[in-house]
Amino acid sequence: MFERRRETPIGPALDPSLIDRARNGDLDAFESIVRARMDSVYRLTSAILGDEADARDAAQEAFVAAWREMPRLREPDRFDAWLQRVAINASRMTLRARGRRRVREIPSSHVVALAGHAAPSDAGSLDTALRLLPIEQRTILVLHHLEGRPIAEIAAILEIPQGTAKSRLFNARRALEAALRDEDVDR
Amino acid sequence: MTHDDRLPTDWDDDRLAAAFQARASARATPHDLADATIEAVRRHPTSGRRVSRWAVLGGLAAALAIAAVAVVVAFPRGDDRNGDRPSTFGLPVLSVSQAAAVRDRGVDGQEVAVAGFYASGGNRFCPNPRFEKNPTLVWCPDNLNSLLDRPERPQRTGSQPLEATILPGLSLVSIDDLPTDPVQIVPIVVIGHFDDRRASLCSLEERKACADTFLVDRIQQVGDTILPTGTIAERTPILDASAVDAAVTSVDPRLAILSRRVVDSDHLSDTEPLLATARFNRWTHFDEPLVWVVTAIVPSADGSPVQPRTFIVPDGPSLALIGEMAADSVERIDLVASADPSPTAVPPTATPSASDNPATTWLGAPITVSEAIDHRDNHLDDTELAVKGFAWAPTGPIACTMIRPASPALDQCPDGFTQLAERDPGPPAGPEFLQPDSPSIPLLVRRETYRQVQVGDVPRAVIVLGHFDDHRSAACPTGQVDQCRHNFLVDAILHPDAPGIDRNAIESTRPDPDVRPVASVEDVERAMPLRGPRGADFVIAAFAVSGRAIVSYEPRAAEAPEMTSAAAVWVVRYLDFIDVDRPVVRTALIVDGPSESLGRIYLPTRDGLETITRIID
Repeated sequence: MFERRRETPIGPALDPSLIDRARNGDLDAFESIVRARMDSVYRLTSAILGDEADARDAAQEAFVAAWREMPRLREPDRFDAWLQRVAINASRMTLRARGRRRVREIPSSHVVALAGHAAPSDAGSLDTALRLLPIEQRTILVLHHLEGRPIAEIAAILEIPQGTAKSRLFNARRALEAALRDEDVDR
Repeated sequence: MTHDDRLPTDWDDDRLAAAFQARASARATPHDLADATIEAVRRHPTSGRRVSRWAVLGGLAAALAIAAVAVVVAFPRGDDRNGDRPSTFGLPVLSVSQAAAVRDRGVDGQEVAVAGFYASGGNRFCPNPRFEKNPTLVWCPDNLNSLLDRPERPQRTGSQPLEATILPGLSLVSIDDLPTDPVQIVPIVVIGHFDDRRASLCSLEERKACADTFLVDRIQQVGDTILPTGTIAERTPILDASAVDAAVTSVDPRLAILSRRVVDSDHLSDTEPLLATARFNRWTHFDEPLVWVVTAIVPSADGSPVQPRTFIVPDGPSLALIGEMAADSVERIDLVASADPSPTAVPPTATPSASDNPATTWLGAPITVSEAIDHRDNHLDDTELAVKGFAWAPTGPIACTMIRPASPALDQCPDGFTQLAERDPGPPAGPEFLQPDSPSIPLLVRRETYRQVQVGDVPRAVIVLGHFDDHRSAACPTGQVDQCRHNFLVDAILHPDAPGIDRNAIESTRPDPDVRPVASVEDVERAMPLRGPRGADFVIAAFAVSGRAIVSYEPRAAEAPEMTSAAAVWVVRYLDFIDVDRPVVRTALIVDGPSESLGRIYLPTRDGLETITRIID
């Protein structure tokens, strides 16, 4: 079976000539791309990593890597998917560079205590639950539930078969639900 | 906190999406991030095909050509003990025609220096992008680059140039000093080789073309500029180049460094594809996020052929080991600190030693048999485990009263006779089968189990890779499912000091010798849903059996008549690292056929048979 991948843009459409110029080393064109896509890239790295400083580093690293790799971009019409892949890789690398010393679990009771015994919001519960998941699971959940990417696009971004993407999303969702249940129980 | 699956959850898709959106909305993009990023990009030294100084020099380059080649000869670098012939690093400097003759005379892979002219193919539109990563596979638009004898593009008859040209593979070196404009043809001296070891990893159809690529290990000179042995770094490493050079030269003090690169370990397999697809991806599973890749040669003192050598050095403070790449393996070289702060290579020992301190496997340090038993009894799941211990098995015939077809996860006589024990019980004293005198587990060893070492009736130290709770337990006879779940299915029996899986052994595993598959292991591997480097999956077994027999290997195959009626079906077992804390061995089934037909893959699970179809652009 042959299937052509399609992708959803992650922001206002980019002028194709901008991408072409950036591929040929035009820094001004690349700056325009950075400004047009920074929000979406930061949103992605922030959603995956949770930590603001890490997200900032990863977003910056993603664009530096993209600039470096632009000449090798084979499919300019799939630039957004490619950029997301670069951002995901940068997030992974940022997390690895930080090492485990910065990965810590915050007991839900602490979160509640810090919040002055107010009922945690769904966003807060989700944030705590996501921290319990490995980055691969966080990534696929973010792509699906935040970015709204269908399975085919997730598979294309992560460079995995659709069946694999589907099963990984299923497992990630199951893990997230378990973590969220724990949050509910602890409330 | 417990993970009780029976608890209900009201986190439906809408609530989840709203929570994700709310979480994201609470984190606005820092207002200065775009500016700071642009500043970082501006500072970045390697921006790919930026406008180079050659655009300014324009046609001057060609005019300087002959003089520049003279400079090459006048400024050889490295050991130059090659008589009257111009040389660099002890390598004779050949013309493009001479190098093309080397290419065409057969496989040798020797390192040569070539002086000629570089012409870029420019940035062309490429309608068929390729995603395979192999430095010898030079694809559009890079396959339009060329090395020439003269500073002008050769005349062509059809697509064939009338003069000698060489296709350079430039993925291992920085191209910042090369022009990108096709009209600018510059004099150049490069060091590299044909017949690179990685050509064997190209498809059969492309292997010849890959072998004919001149893989450049170093750009020695461009125009009149002799380039230093610099380091191309994706990010700032911890180690400095001198420490890395010292580690490499501790292997052989004669080594001369041609080039160094520092890459994210995630990217290592881009240039070392062996590490992405095969059993050696432990070499991408470093704690260190960066890896040095160093290419070196031992300069020839007498003009004899020289082979390039590639070393992998994890960028960590300890500098405990390095690896040397070979065509189908990576040699591990342990380094020990000496009085001199430079590390020293320890020659690999051929003699196996006791397993008190066995080597780390892809799964981490092996656990003990007692720990494996605890896993079975208190944390039962199908996590792939590496267990160290002493194994033995009967070598003579065993009389079993009844053998019946059943699930491969069910222990049947003579399964219970192969044991893994915590301590060495010593050699057998008589004809009776040796009984363990320490915690032990029976091993379910199947025909397809990979054996780096053979187990006989005398206990020997091993590391066993395997798992409890095999997904095929579900196919055990009613009433024996729980027993099956507690059996330890062995995937590999490994040497305790140098655990590894040999490619050739995988390819020669043929539990059903009468089956002659059309596809090769390589074809099947390529069709597999394996992931990329870092967290990469890799194959530990791949073999073909007849469709009639497939159910005895994988009971779920009975649900797919396409498989049970096939002449041959591939069974592929691979380590899935999707969860780095809980690797598991998964199975894929592929009906045999020509490589281009291997599009449908069956993934049997505990609950059913998942089917995936390859996406082909």
